[in-house]
Amino acid sequence: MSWSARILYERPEFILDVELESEHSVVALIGPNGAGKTTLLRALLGAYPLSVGHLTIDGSACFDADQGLDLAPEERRIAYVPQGFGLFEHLRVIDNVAFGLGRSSLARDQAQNRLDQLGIGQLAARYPHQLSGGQQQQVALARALVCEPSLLLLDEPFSALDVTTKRALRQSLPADLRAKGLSSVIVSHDRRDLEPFDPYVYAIEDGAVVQRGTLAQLEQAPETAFVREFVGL
Amino acid sequence: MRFDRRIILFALPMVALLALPLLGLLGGLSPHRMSEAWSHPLWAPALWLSIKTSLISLAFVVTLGTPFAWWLAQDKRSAAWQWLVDVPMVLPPAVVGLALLVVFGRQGILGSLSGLVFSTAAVVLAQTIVAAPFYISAAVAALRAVDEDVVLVARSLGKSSLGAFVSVVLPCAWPGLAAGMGMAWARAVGEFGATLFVAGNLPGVSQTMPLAIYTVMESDLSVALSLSVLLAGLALLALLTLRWSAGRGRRS
Repeated sequence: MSWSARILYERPEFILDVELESEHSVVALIGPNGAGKTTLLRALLGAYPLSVGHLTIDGSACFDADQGLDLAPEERRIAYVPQGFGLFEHLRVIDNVAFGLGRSSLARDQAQNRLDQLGIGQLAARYPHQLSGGQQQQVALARALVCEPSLLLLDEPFSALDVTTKRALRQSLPADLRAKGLSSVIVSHDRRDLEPFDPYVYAIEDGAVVQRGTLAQLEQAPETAFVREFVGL
Repeated sequence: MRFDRRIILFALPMVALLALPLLGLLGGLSPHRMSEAWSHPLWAPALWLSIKTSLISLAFVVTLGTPFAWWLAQDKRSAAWQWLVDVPMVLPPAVVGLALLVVFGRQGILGSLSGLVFSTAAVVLAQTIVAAPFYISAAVAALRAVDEDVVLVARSLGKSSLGAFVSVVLPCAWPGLAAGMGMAWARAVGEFGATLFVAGNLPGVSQTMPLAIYTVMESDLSVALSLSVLLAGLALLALLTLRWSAGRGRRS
């Protein structure tokens, strides 16, 4: 699967202007706080009206300002797991996972199957606040993937987890994504979170790409103070 | 953090002031007077009218106020209209009533609807206008507090803008919305000034509980007091129900 995007989002106090291409199946966005990483994810989802840019996934356009094409978020087939996971607190786990599948009993069966496959079928009747951080992340991912999206956006997927859970999920999540052949965009501030994904990295500062490449390339020749610190030099 | 217990000393006068009306009501309570009030001809129609009009008003407040609150919560350009919400809060209710009387009077801009004046519909109109700001203010705060990302997730999972509002935003904001409904309903039940001016004080038509209490007070203070206890009890009961419901919403 391949995708490419140009996003230009202008605000009086902030301009985000970024071009992305899926060189690897996982694209990572790094950068200091306020650089525009989360804004970029939301823009890819279609949260903002944009007058310049495009987004093409697998050859079909979701957004093309030149042609006046701008699909609504619900038509883009892009899944989103925000920071803090964004679970619906008023719905049980099973209804969170079935949310994108509609109201039929078939949808709930499918959601239950997905939870069973993940080994968390016994959590189906619980509410999100009754889950651990790791379980919340699993539920959020299950909910995102059950609709079979063509692109998955993950914002700081490991930041809310304790050390043990983090270590386990750093191994399992990249393997899962690889097995599904799903393209994804991951925002992270920790190099150790990204390594298992073997991502193509875009370093973003003040709304613009300041450096791009694999982690190894960034390590060899970091071009800004932030990138140097990120790769641990 | 440790807190300085001396602050309680400074807080007590306010506690006493707020408790004063309740003490007055309880102090005036006696079984004999209650039974006297029970047999008074005014209370039953007034209570029924109050319940009916305040619930209809609340329905208007919620159905018309929620879209407005959602607009105010989302769109910065709507801030220009925020002041309208505050107008009925800062205007004396009697002034609101007088203004409505002018609008719906025979010479008014809505003079064709002059039949509305001194009717039950006018009671509902006055209550709706005076109570709406309490709901709208609470609703704007509650809707603003809903995590933008949670709404985006709902959209990414196939919900339209309206679908996400109904299935995610409203349930997330429910505790705040319920609190706003409680305040608005209490304000509607207590409405006096605006109702008196635009709807009058006609038994069975526009004489709600506060107006009945006022009318009875002129002849029999103790019956008025008993009616007041009844009204206060009703309001507290509604408040507790909403608190309980909102608390349940928060827990789940």
